[in-house]
Amino acid sequence: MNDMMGSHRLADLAHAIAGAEAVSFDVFDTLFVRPLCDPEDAFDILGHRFGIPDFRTRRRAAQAEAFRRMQQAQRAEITLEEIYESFGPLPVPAAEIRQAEHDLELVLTQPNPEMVEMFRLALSQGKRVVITSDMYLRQAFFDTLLRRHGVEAVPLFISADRNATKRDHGALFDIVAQEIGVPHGKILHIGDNVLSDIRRADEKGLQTYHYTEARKPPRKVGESPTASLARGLVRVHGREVPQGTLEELGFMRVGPAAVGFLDWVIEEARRDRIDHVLFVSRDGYVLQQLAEARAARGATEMPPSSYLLGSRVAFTLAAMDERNFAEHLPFLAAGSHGLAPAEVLERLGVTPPAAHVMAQLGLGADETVREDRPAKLLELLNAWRWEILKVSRRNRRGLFRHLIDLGLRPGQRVAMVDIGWNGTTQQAFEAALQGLMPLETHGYYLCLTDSADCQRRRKAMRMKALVGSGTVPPEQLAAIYANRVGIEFFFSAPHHAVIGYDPGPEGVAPVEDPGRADPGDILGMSPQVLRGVLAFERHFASARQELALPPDPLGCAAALLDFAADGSWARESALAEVRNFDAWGSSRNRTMRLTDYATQA
Amino acid sequence: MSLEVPREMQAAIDAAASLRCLGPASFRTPSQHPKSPWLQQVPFVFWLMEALQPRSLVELGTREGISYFAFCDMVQQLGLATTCHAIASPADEENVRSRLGVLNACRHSSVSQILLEDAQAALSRFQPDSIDLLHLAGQPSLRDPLQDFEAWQAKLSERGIVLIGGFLAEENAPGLSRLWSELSARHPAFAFPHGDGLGILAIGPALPAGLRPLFEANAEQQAAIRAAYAHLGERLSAHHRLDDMPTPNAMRTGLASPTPGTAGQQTPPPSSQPLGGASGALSPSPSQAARIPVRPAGLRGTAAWRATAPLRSALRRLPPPLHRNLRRAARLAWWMLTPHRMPQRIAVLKALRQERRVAARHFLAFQPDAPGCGIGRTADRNGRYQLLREPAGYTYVPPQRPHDLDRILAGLPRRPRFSIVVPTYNTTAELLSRLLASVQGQWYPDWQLVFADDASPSEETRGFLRDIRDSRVETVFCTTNKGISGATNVALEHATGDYVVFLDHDDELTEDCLYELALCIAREDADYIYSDEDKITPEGTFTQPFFKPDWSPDTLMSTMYTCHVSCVRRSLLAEVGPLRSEYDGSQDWDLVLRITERAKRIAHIPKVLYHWRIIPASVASDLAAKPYAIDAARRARIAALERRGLVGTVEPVAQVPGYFRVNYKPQGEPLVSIIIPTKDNRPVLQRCVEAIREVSTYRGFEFVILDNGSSRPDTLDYLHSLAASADASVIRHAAPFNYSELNNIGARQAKGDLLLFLNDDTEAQSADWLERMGGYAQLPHIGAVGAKLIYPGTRMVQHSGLLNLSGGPNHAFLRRDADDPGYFMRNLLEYDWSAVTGACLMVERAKFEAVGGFDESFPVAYNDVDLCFRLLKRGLYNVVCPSVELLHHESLSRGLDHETPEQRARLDADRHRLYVAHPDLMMHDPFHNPNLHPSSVHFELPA
Repeated sequence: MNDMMGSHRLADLAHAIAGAEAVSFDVFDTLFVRPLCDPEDAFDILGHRFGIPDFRTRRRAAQAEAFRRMQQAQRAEITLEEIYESFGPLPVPAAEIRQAEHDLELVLTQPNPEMVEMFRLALSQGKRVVITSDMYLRQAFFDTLLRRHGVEAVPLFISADRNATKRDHGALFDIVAQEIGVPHGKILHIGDNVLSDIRRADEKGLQTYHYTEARKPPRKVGESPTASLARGLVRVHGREVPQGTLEELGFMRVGPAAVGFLDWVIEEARRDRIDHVLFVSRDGYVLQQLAEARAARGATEMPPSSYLLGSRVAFTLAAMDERNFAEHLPFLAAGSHGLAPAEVLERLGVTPPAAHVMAQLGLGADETVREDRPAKLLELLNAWRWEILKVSRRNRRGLFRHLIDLGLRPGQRVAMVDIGWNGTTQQAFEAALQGLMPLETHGYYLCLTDSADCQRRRKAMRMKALVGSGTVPPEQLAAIYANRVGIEFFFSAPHHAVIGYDPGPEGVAPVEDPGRADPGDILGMSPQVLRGVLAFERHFASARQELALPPDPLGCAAALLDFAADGSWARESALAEVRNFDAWGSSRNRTMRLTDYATQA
Repeated sequence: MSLEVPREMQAAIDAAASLRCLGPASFRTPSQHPKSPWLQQVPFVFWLMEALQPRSLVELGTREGISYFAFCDMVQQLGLATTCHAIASPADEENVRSRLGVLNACRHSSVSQILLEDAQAALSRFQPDSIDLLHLAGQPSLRDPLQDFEAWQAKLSERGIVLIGGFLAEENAPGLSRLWSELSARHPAFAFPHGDGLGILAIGPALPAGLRPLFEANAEQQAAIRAAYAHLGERLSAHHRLDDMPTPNAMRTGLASPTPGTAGQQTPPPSSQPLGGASGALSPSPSQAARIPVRPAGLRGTAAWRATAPLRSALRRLPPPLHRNLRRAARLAWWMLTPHRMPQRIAVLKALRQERRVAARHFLAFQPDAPGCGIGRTADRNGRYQLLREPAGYTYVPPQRPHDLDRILAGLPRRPRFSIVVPTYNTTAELLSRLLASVQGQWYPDWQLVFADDASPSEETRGFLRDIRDSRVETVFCTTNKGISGATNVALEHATGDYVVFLDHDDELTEDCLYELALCIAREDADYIYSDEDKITPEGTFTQPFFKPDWSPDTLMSTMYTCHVSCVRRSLLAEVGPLRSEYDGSQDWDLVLRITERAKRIAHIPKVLYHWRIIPASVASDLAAKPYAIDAARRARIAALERRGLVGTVEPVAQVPGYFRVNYKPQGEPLVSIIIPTKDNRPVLQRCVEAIREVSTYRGFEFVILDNGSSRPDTLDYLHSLAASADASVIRHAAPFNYSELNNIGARQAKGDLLLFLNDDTEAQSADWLERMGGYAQLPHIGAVGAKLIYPGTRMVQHSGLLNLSGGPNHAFLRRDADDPGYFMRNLLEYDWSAVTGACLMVERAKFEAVGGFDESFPVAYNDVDLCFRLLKRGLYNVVCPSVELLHHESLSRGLDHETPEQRARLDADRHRLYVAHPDLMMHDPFHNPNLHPSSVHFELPA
């Protein structure tokens, strides 16, 4: 729907163009955009490149000084040269940085596809088309820019060359009208700036069109250029990801977080001398796909990695035997409130007794489990333990075979990559490995909570998190955790929860649990998200390489976590139909929408 | 609490074992652990039951059934054919009587009956000379033991034994002591003073052979026997106090920890090791022990606990809420005063919590409706399921029909149609109605049911069949009686399905039977399929489940194990021909032998899909009841040998009348190369070599001795003399011990076509061992051939086949009596196994070389298992010849206790490597069954 609205918007513009004799296009944030959230983020890139940590501040001061000098000289515009003449002492020759800034702007400034389309529409209609820009860069820069991107050359009206601007009194518009010989009233000016592009043009009697980017990300104080690029990339590649779709969520939210998390995993794996990285299903699916995409491009920074089929259910069952069965009873019964008793067994992959048997036991389909009265259910689980244990043994065999098939061998160091939150899956995995295959397991998490359980596990196991109590404030951590189901969905795979393994003669087949309530087309959604993620990763990797930006895992992850933590994700229309995502709590007795799990900040 | 065997008790147990007054049964535990002094007598009584094998057992004075149900449990555990009767007083409280009845119905109804009658009144129910074992239970209800005994004496058989329980606890039954005094003076007697005392009297004139050593023991021997059983009794009580802790299943049921492949471990254990007969069976491993929580009951023995007894007693008299609050307040105050004890308290609380959780065990039980009720209801719908707090024994529980059945069926790549064929003859309408209901209740819809009535004189039968109104059911009435094969063949002529399912006229299919068959066909495209099965007792309960191995060609030549449900592709059936009347009684065995010779794919579904109804005097209840069936079974196998062009004899199995084994004759005169690694072990090696030279009737053998660097002069002398003999060669290989490497070198040097890998601490016992093993080894489908190895001086099994259980490879039936049949005769008959021990392993050279010989990266452990696994994966079957016996001088006490942490770690690492090499066999034994206890080497049921 948003996309349709976008189409309407541009239709209005096309109509306006048709009615004008000449069309003037603003450049920055209109005909061209930078894939950053704040133009000044480019200064941070330069600062990083030249090793000047406060370069952004100094560059701003220099520009202010250049303005002061300009005003003293009663000129209308400054130039890049004048800015660099206004710098205090620099550790690197100013000319070198100036050239670097010039070149960087050339790299950063990218055509805005929808506006270039309008630009060409105007040309095709025989309109006089010009470009107007209040900019300290000179015409040569713009000539190069247009050539570089194959945008047709049109008359350029650049403030630095004309000593006139749009912003002050609209003098630049007068020059345009005069030079092209078209009356002010027949010129349509298109720009994003309310003052210089709209009010001043209006004042000069031009027709105006205020262009607003639909998905221009807000500025964020203190953000790294890498994170800014991650959020800003959609400005350049937005056409690839239709608005209001899961693919867009993948591009704008999940992609940055996944790339950041993967960068972090790679670094931690290097530090821990990991032999094999295991991305645990289902949350690890997107990450594994990313890792494969990187590997396909020849990236070698990662140790061998695999997609580990499994879940807390599968691992816990694989860890159970006749000796520890009683210890696991609470887990088997956990979260069963509202389920029919037989469903508690079904979600384990265990065939329950026949309906007439269950009814005779007082546990028929018309009964529901109450967590405050679990006795009867526990009696059933207890009495059915050898059937449960049969499934446990099958899973244990299957897990072993799966690990072997993945190339794991006793004694290796493995990183188990999971989204979060308390290390329960890792604990179950390590329990399953006991006596099965000795591995040194390291848990790498996107986010770990600060719960007592989690802290206890962190003492007992090797667990690390990109996001945790050391990196974000407690209230934000709590908010992220409260919205965990949404985050899990974003990272999820196009298959149901893997609750066991079936070790057949042809290899191991996962035992999946589609849940007991209809999950709709939930499996078709993950590929949509993934498409966006992979598109993001492709563009981001190339842009980052071109800009020589260092990784910023946490900054990138924020693109998703900020979005998730305040519960705003639940307003995404694409998620409205997602239901019964959580197979463990799924029941024929009810329907749970994904957005029901959202907790508003 | 230590569960170790005290050093001083080892000698007593050893002595009792060597006197043959203590055996594997002595280490068994009852399925339930009632709290009673009687528990201390259980180890001896277990042994007694196995030694006596009573046909009839009667207990007088049964009240709560503590001892009586233990007897019944023993009968079931030991697989005895004993009928048990308890005489309980009708004057007992109703709840006591009711509980007695319920427990009996739930657990023991197949072997036991409770008679609520006075001891005198019940007399008339028993024939004279019919009771082999009479137990005077020592309950107060036994009012006049002497009078009761005199009345019942006439019912005792000539080998009758009387047990007098609790004669030391006079309050139990006044007069028991006096009775004991009188009788023990007149009859052979033996008394155990521990617990409440137990007296054993041989009243009948024929002293049972198995009990002779007990009654003939001298004073010193008697003391050892008493000490041994006092210890075992006490230990069982200790287990009782740890009742249902997380480990006891493993402890009770036999070895739960892996056996390290066994063969390569040549070094004899140190002589001063603790006794392993107990340690292996009863002691937890260090890791298991670590999991046993500290029992809070230990607190009850403290001085503080005793000192506060009066106060606690007074508190107990207060109203419960007040009592509870006072207790809480007092506890809180005490805890605040003694904070240093908090860690201990936390440990105790954890243990308590754990105990409560575990103690809350429940079991599913089935209480059938009265016989004759619910006509037309299948067995599992003809009664009620309930949750009990006590083990209820085997209970069939039908599975839930899948909610997405239609979707599953629609997704099948094949949708076979089944023809269920049923020959009937004078079948009652009730049974037919149940059978019909079991077919009509099938989840899988594509079936045809064909009845062929074999000219039943019974109008009830014919009328029922005539009245069936179901288009899927076809009935053919034979005009003349054709016998079971003939009638089944008539039904087969009307079968039009893709597959034929055989169903006997008084049996039932489970509701998921055809569904599971269809899934299996979809999955494996099998030509022949069989499943697990169980039986329905005349009372309507489920019993005797047979959880079978996957396809085992040699097992089928030993016993008709595939049995029911039996499903064959109809086109294959057309190829092999119908049932043959000349094999009536075993016509199905004959057919399955023929089918499996031609079938390309044979599948086993490890689920009970068939209930076989026990009808008194039918083949199901007593094979021996029909001699013609036994003869037909023998002839069917002779015919199979002839068809297959194999030379062998079908010979009776000594221990079990009615059973036969195949003895294949060796083809030609193959040289058997006996390959024996050794080092500095002259007496042992010499005994091994000389025994072979002495006992073997087959003389075509050579010795290939691998000397792993002997340095002792006596050994070197002996090796020199061996090297000089015509039938032996000695190869010196003084490298670090590597069993696989030694054997591979030996195999390369050996001249024979048959290789026999043998440990130097074995001693051949069976004269025809080489030709018997060789006959099997030469069969094209056979890989490794193993033998039964026995601990010297006992009849205890050291090896009867290897199981690949949850914890790793294990010796089946370890320390069990060598003549004990085992689960479905598996300890006595030729069965196929996943692996056999390398301590005595014969294999054809060509097959050995085809799999690359022993893997030398397994120098010590699991090399034999690995070899067998590789043979298995080559499509070959490993078999054990239980009639070939060797002594294995490996210490009886060998076990986990003898491993250092380093050895254990090494063993663990080797086991990991074994399964890395064979991940498909991790926790998987195709010749075991997932429904059996995953850690028991005795094929026990998990519940």
